[in-house]
Amino acid sequence: MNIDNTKAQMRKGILELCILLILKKDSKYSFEILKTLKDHHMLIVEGTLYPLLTRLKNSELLEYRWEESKNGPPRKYYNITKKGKEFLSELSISWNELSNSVNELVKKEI
Amino acid sequence: MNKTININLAQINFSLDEKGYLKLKSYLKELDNLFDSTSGKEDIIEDIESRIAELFSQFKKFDDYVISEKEVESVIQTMGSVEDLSDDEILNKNSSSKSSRKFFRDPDDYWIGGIAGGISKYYNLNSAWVRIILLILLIFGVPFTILIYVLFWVFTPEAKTTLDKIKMKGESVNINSIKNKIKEGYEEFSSSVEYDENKIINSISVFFKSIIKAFIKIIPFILKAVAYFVGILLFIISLFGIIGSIFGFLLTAFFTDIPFSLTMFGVGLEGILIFCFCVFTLGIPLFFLFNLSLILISRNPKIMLNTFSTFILLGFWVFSIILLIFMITLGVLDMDLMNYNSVFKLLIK
Repeated sequence: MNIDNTKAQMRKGILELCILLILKKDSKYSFEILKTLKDHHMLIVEGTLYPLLTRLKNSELLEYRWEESKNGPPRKYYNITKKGKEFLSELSISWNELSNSVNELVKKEI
Repeated sequence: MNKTININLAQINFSLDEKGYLKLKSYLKELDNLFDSTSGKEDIIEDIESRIAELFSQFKKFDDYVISEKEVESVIQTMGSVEDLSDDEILNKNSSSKSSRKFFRDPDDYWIGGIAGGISKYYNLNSAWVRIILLILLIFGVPFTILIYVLFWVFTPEAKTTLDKIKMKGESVNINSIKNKIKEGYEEFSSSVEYDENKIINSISVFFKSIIKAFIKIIPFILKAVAYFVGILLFIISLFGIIGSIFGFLLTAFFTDIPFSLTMFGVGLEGILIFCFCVFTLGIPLFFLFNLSLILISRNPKIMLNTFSTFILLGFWVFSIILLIFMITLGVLDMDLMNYNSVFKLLIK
C-alpha cells in the first residue's frame, strides 16, 4: 500500500460529488469550478477536471450552454440537471453516512 | 531569429514560436491518444483546448504577441503532463497494469540529499539497507562514491508534489507513457547538446552551489558518524573493562601466589571489602564511559545519568579510593615479616 496513491484515490472518488456540490446553486463556467476545487486542494492538475465534466455530462447529470466572453474564447457554462440533483442528494446522504462512520472509527482508534 | 507559427485554438488566433508550437502539438497529440478509448473524447479535447486558449490569452500582452516555448511549457504544467493525466485515466478505468517508478530524491526520507531514500523507493527496499551499502561503498572507494553521489544529487529532481511522490513509489504505465518518456529523454538530451553559453554557465553555477550545499549538509553527518564510531569503541572498552576488572579481581583473589593478591588480607570481611572497593574504583569510571557510549550510539541525551546519581556514584568512587588506600596501608603494616619477606623474594626473582 502506498499512502499517496491512496490519497489520490480518495480525492478522486469524492471529486464528482464536489463538482455537483459546486454547481448545486447556480451554473458556473469551467474555470470557476476549477478555481473552487483548486482553492480547496481537491485538484492537482487542471487537466483532470475535463474528462470528469464530460463524464458527468454524458451521464446526463450536467448540461452546458455556450456563452460569449469579452476576453478570450466563448465559455461553457455548466449547470446541474434534474437527474443530477437527485444523484447529488443521494450522494450527499451516503457521503454523510460515510464520513460519520469513518470519523467515528478514526476517533475510536485514536 | 525565430520562426512564428499561427494556430487557431478555440476559434482564437495565436502566434507561437516554432519550438513552442512543436511542444503544444505533441502534447495535444498525446492527449488525443490518451483519451482515445474514452467516450466524449472530442468534448474533452475541446475543453482542454479552450482552457489552453484562455491561459494563452493571459500571456498575450498585445495583438502581435508571440507565445514562447516557456509559456507553452508552463501551460502544459498547469494542465498536467500526459503522465499525470494518464494516472488519473488509469485510476478511473480501474485497470491494473505493471508499475514502474521514477527516480526522485525523497524529501521525506533523507540523511544528506535523499538519494538513498529515492533509491530505496525505486527498488522498493528499506532505506537503511541502501545506506549501509552506500557506507560500505564509501569505505572502499571514497572519492568515487562521493562523486557519484553528488552527480546523482545534482541531476535528480526532488519529489516536490504529490504526483512526484506517487511516481517515485510506482506509477501505472502503458506503452504510450513509456514511449513518451523515451522521447522526452531524447529531446532533453538533444536540447542539452545544443551549445548554449548561458545554459552551461547556469548549470555550472548550480552544480557548484549543490556541491557546497552537499558539503554543508555532510558535515553534521560526518560528526554523527564519528560520534557513533567513538560511541561503539567506548561501549566495547567500558563493557570489557567492567567485566574484565570483576573477573580480574576474582581471579587474583583465588591465586595466593601472586604478590599483593587479595588473599593477603584473608577471605574474611576485610578481603571482601577490599575486593568490592577495587571493583568500584575501576568500575565506576568505566560505568560513566559506558553511559557516555550509550548516549553517543543512541543519540539520545535523555538516557544520561541525572546529577543526583552522578554525585552519588562520584562520592562512592572517592570513598572507595580513600578506604582502599587506608586498608592497604593498614594491611601492609599488619603483615608479618615472614609474609613480607616472601613477597620481597618473589619480587626480586
